[in-house]
Amino acid sequence: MIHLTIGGLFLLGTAASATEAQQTPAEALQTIKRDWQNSQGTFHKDYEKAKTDKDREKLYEAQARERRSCVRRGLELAREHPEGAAAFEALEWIITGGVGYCPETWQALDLVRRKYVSDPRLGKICWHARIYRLSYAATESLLRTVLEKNSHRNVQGIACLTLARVLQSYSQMGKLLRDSTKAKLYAEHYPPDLIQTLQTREPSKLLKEAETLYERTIQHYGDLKEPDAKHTLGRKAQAALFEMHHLQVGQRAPEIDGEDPDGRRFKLSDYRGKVVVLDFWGHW
Amino acid sequence: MYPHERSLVKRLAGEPFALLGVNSDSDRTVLKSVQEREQITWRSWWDGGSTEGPIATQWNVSAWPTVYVLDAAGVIRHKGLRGEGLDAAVDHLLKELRPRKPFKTIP
Repeated sequence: MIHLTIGGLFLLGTAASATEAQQTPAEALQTIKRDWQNSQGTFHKDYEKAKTDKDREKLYEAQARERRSCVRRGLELAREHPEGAAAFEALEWIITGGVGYCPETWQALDLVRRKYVSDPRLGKICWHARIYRLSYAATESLLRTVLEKNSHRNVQGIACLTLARVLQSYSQMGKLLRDSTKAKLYAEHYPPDLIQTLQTREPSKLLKEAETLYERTIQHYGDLKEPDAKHTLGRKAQAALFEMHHLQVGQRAPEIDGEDPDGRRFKLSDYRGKVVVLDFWGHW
Repeated sequence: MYPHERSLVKRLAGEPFALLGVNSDSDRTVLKSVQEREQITWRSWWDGGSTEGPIATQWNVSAWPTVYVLDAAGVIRHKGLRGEGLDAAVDHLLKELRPRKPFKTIP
């Protein structure tokens, strides 16, 4: 059963790419997306039926192969028809998680860096760029270039806030990398050139630049929003500065005053005199 | 996360310790059913049904779970600890609270 399905997935991939030649780029992209969704459906069904870890492992491997195949088809489409809307949509789909991540995702980011830094549609990709800060060494360069060259204010704003977050994260990473055992471990998991660069950069300078970029976000882009976000970029940058200035080790925690799910009010200060583990959580 | 938290709370029953949650689930009823099913005995603030609720926003939380450890004076002592590291940090802070044995005075 399992083997049949893997074979089926493979056939699905090749059959679809054969017909893509006659389709418009937009139709071809829909086909790729549909193939991925269908394969996901099959994956979930087979996963439920799988009995052993080995079966499950095989399914994961087949899923990873199908993902790479879909991403490659998306990349091919973007390279062959760079002028149409479908090319950008394909890259956005790959980068913003429509298909999950694989090594080819970096190629999509490279393509964006080469061809689309001035594009007005770039906000969503910039917002997602934070996810790649430790796996794609050119994340910072991408965001800096967009901030410098993109003339669209909403794109600039998202690039500015995201760059601030990335630099803040690099500053924390830089501190961890001072410990040579940790540095060795990180070098095994992340791009070695990124780790090397972070080791040579001064964490306090990175943090200072992050702070300046948060302030710039508030000043120039405060009223804008990230895609699907509730709060403005300004509010998010304010929160980041609040954490930087008031939520560090050694500082008194701010009050929390709210309700439990039954509507009973309680405060963090009710627990003064006790050691408190404060856990931000969700069941999802 | 739940089994570790359950055992932490159980182990430190009677100590001056509290585990408190800030929950970002979308629905109070979901939170209540999870609390019941997972035997979550510790209290949680319900943060308005979104990951962009008022508490998580003020605390600039963008990854879940995020864990802070506060001492008895309400001072932030650790961020981002989990597992054994979290246990050790809490034990250390509880030890700080216990009265020290007086030094022996040499007559």
